[in-house]
Amino acid sequence: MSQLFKMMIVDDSNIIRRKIERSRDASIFDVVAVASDGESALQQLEDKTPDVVTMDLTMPRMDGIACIEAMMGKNPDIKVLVVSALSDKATGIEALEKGARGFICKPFSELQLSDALREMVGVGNV
Amino acid sequence: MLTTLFGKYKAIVVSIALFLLLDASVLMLNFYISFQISGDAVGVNLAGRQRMLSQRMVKSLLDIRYLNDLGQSAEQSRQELEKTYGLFDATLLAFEQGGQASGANGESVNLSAVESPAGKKAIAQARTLWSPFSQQVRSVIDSENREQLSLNLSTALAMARDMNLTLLGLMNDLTVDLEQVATAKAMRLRLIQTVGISLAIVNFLLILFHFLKQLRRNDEALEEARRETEEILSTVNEGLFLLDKDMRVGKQHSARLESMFDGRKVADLTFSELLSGLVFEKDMKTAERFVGLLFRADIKANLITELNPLNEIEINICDENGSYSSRYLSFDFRRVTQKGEIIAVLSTVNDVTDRVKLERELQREKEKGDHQMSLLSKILHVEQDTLQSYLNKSWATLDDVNQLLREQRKGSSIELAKIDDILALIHKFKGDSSALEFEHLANSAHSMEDTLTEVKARPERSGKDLFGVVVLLESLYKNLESVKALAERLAQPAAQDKGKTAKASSWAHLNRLVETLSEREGKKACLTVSGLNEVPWTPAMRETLDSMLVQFLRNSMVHGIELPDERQRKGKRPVARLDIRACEVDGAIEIVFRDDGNGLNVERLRKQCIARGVASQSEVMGWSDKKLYSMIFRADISTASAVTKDAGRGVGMHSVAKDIADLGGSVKVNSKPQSGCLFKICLPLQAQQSEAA
Amino acid sequence: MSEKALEVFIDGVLNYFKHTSDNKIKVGAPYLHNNTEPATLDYTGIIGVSGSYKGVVYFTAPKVLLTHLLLSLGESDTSMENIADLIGEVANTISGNARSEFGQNFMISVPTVARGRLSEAHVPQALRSYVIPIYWKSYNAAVVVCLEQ
Repeated sequence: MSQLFKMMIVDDSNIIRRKIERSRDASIFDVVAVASDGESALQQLEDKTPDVVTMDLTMPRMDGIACIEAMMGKNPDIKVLVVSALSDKATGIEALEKGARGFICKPFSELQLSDALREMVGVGNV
Repeated sequence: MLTTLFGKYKAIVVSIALFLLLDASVLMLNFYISFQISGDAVGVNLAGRQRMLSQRMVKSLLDIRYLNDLGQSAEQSRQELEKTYGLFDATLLAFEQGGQASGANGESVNLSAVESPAGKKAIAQARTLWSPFSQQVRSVIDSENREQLSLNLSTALAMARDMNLTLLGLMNDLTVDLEQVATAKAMRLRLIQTVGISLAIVNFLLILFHFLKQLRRNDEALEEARRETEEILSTVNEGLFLLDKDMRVGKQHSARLESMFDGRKVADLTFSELLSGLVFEKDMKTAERFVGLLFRADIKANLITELNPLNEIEINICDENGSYSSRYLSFDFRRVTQKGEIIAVLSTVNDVTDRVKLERELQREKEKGDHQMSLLSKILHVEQDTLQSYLNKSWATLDDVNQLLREQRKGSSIELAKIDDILALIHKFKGDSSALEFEHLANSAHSMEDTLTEVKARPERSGKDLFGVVVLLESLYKNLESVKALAERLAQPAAQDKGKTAKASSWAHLNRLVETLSEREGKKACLTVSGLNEVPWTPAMRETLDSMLVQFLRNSMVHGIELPDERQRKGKRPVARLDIRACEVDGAIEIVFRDDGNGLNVERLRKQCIARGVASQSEVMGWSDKKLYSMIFRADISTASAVTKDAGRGVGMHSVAKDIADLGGSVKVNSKPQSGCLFKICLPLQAQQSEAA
Repeated sequence: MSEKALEVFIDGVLNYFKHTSDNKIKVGAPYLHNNTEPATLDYTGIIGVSGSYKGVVYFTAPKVLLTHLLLSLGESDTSMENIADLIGEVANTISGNARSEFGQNFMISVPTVARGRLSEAHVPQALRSYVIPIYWKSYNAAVVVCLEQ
């Protein structure tokens, strides 16, 4: 039996949040928190102590890059997967430079997302 | 490390160990034997000394007797005798049994017992002689008075005389024997040394041979591997190279890489030098950052492929003729790890130009296809003859426009009259296009009118002002070409049943135009057409008539006909009536167009005439309504209050009048406020025939 | 092809003439010309274009204009070499101007000079060219733009 990872979903779109929640492998990822902006994600961080975070980049109040930076300051072991509609690759690269571990591009298929999450935590296909 | 050393180089390690062992044992033997030989040398020395001692004993005995006979003290000689005797006795014992003896300088030396048979025999014989003699000598030494001494001395001398030579001979034998033993040992030592060194040399040669063989084999294997790598690198179609942590290109790379990059030498360049001048600075930086991510072990390479900024990048390479060719390259980056550590990034470059070009072409084709689909659906609605005549006419119109542009006088400002002519042509073209619902063409024509109107308003006009116009003209040509291409394709199967259906629906597009305009203007109208199919038109006449009718209909729908509400307020039926009738009268064709709208706006016409300076204000004020109506055929007069795509530029009627004049006909206009207006056109059949001929 | 692009090309030529003693140069009305018979005068300086647009842009002028132009630039040697040199220079100015305006995606080759009628190999057949006449003194020359996207 594989380990259960605590997961947080950060995205300002309701639809995307639900899609991510639906797509992830529930036997591996336990969604403990959702946030619609960077600030709210940071607020929940200490309480919910997620292992894995999916992160949008363009969000109100605090954008994904700033949020990743702040998160890494608090706990550099959090595995962040950036899920973003990409207009500029440099921004995506910046997110990874700030500490994110992976990137997938919107729109994504459910399979793509669940594979990416599994790959990020190093759990192979069941 | 150690195991691999022994594993791979076992043979050589063993050989070297053997070599060292051999050397060491030869050395040890050498040492041991040399030590023995030095011992033997001492033995030889001492044996030789025994000879001398035996003689010295006899001499001492004689000395003692001589002195004794003289009655002098022989104490010194006695001591000498005692010492000599002691030395001889101890040395003989040491030779016999092994043990301490006194050396030449009085030092103590260790002698081993003589083992050789000849030596042993000599010693044994010496012992037999020495035992009695030694006792006698002892008694000489120990004598207490002169008489006793004389007695003992004569006995000892008598014994000495008997055995002196024999003893000397025996000691000599011993010396010779010991010398022989030492020589034999030296011989053995030399032999051992020779054998040992020979073995070492053989071993060395074996090592050398084996090692060289192995070395050569390894070299061959390496060379083979290198050649294979080289072959691979020189034949692969991809550009392959390694990037290290400092973003430097490795020494080994595929041959293709250089040709991909302009033939530049790529080894040892930095990544940015490799791409400099070929891609945007910004993309370059992004690419370096991306490769930087690949060196980070905590990032899964699979999860960042979408961020690769160089997965399809256009580069422009200058060839030897100085012209540029653009290629599309796709870079793929993969980690190279060694024992879990990322040591480099392998970059694979593919030339995807053909693929990209094909994709682009497909995309363009698709867009064109979409555009053509909508065009096609429009074309399908248009009857073949109509379409053909539209195409011919439009083509001619565009050619005319181009000709007008071309005829501009040298150096002078662009002539207004020419612009008016172009406007008239384009306006007509727009009307025709929109009648067939070729919106795209109508829109372009409309933009062209906008530009021309704007240019007209400028105080001074240079050729530069018309750049926009000529660009639009080109796009009209292009669009018309695609309509034409489609029409030609459609015409092929339709060609057979041409004629049967032609007449019935020849004028149907007019009804559609009214429908379209009704919808757009929010008005309701019903068009009745009669007699048009019964009149013997020539193509030229038909074209003129067609664009004329389109113009009338558009004018009516935009200016004349009121909105349904307004009509009801005025007590009219909400659905307006439009009438087109044609008939042959006295060698001419008479076409009547009528609507039941507002009629022409006399006041507006009057104002425009004054504003445009057609005549002085007082003159215009004095004009009759009829005279004012005729003004609508001027290029600069329009009755519409706003410019829309369908009307309001004033050039429509201008071109109608020109066309009619060209055919030798005439046009009359009549209008009644609130009741509608009427156009009566007369075209002589004569002109028509002469034109046909 | 945009209006802007045409302006960039013609500005290249205008720039060149600005340095002459008689800088009154006029741009005529542009028109389209079928490539089946390229519109050329005595001498033509051609630049090839690739990138997002492909084709050629050329400056074509009669010998008399070029001779006069040479003289007005203070060059008394009006040999054929000098004339060819001059027209190459004008083409260079066009290309330089275009390069600075359009940047990376608009690659322009080194100009070549042709005498007399332009060979059909130079211009894409299926296209129409834009002809922009220019008038200098009593002469006329033209910038011809023939590009496809």
